[in-house]
Amino acid sequence: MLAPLVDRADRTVSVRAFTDPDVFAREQQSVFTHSWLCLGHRSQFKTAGDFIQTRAGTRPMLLCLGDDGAYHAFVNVCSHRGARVCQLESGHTERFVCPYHNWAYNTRGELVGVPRQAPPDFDKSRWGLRRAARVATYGDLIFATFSEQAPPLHDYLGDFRGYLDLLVRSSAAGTELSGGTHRSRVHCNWKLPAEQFGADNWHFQAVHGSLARLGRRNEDPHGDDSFHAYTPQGHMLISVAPRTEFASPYSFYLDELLARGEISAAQRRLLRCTLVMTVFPNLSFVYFPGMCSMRVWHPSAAGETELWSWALHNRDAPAGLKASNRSQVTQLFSPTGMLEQDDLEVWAQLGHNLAAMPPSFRLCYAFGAGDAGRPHAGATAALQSDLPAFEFYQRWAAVLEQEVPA
Amino acid sequence: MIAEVADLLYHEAELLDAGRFDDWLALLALDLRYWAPSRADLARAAEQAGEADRLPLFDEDRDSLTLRVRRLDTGLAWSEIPATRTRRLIGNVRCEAGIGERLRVRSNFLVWRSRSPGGESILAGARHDVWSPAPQWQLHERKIVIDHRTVENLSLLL
Repeated sequence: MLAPLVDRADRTVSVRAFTDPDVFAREQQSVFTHSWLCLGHRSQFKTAGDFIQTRAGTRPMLLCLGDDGAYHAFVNVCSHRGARVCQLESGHTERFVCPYHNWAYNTRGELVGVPRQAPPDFDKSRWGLRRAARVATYGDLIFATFSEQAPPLHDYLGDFRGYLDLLVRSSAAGTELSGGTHRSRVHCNWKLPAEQFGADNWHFQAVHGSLARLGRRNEDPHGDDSFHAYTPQGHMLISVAPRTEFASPYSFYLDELLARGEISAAQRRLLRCTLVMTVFPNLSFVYFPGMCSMRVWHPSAAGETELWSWALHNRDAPAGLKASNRSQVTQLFSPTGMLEQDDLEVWAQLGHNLAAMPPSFRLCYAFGAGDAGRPHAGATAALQSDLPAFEFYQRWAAVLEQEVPA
Repeated sequence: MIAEVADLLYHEAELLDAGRFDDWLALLALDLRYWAPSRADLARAAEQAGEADRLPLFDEDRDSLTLRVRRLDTGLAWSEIPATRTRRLIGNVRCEAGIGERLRVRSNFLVWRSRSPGGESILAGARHDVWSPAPQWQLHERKIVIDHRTVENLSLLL
């Protein structure tokens, strides 16, 4: 009998959660089937027929804006023999025609044509591209789930919506992604970076000591607005308040959002902080005033992950702020980024080391205390606690039990 | 002229492979624009037409490259502790007159990278440069076309 993947009593997580191919396969049938997964952003679509290639866990996906005005998500895997029906990463089309035998699908994924006269007993309606069960949007983000039983997206996000709103709903004009995507290989299990981006403030001074040393120290780690927050759905946030908020074109823009009534005084206060968050399971953001990177950790194998990331900003932000966001995201949080490089290095070490350890090896999540009772949504903890990350793994283990035939 | 320009590029590659980054910074002009478009799976013409609109992989000037070098000097830049073993091969050097005395120089590169546990990889691409000529040899523009859609950790200068 193997020890549990997540042990509540001694707050440990088994190495198998990060290395075992069987656990990885179960994850695809549970976590990446039951959850709402972020597949794209409204700004990637302009007119009906626009599409992007994306992923839902390991599944290659197409996301299309249909002529009915709805987003349709289906696999980029032909129902006939499994070739890709679409070769380009984005574009505009009325039909996806598979290169292998020219089966043709419309932008809703329905099979609309085969090149030979179909026999009378061939029912085209049965052979559309396999679709996500449901698609829904929240603040311009487009999510899909493969489970009919998943709660509505609104409930899935739960109390965490308040934190997500800071980044994706701070202006009625909405948000947009920079064109183009950063894609890099992360040589470890997807949960380790997802955990870091939601719950690990501790690593900053250590892993990123090089920039911490060159920069100006301005954090106020004990203030009310410096905290971890986590919700029962497995979402988690780190907020680190500055000692002083410096006036900048971005702080003036936030003041303008406040004056226009787009954000509340409480939201304005949190938007002066560094905010790092993960929406369960694999959507993350890192924000500090004037910079915001949005990212998805796509699982490829137990020890391999592909990171896709973008610069995210408000549509109505001044052009100068958008340009500076793009350039800061590139210099700090791209594959060449001065912060990301060091994370990628450490993650490669985790992937390599954990794969070398026996199944009895367990990682320690015992550090740090629980609820700090901060005046913010969700359960809160003081900074430098492993408890929020451990809650993420408890949620993960619970969802892993809900394996569904897919 | 080609031989002289090629020699300059070989010298630059030697500086980077040897970790002589301050000597490399001395080759950069104050008005340097240094960038690398990200790649996309699109038709060739569409990919090229959209390159300036896509999020770049590098978006640098002389100051930001200097900061990158200073970061390595802190002894805390873990992506380069110990330094990645690199070997740059520069080839297909072509050169034509640019504006005024400046030269437009194109070249291809293969960079061998080796570190543990990150493994070993080859990074391939091309560079489109503008240099002011000898004896100063200053780099004013560099566009780096990286021939990878998904990249390994790019903890290096190109």
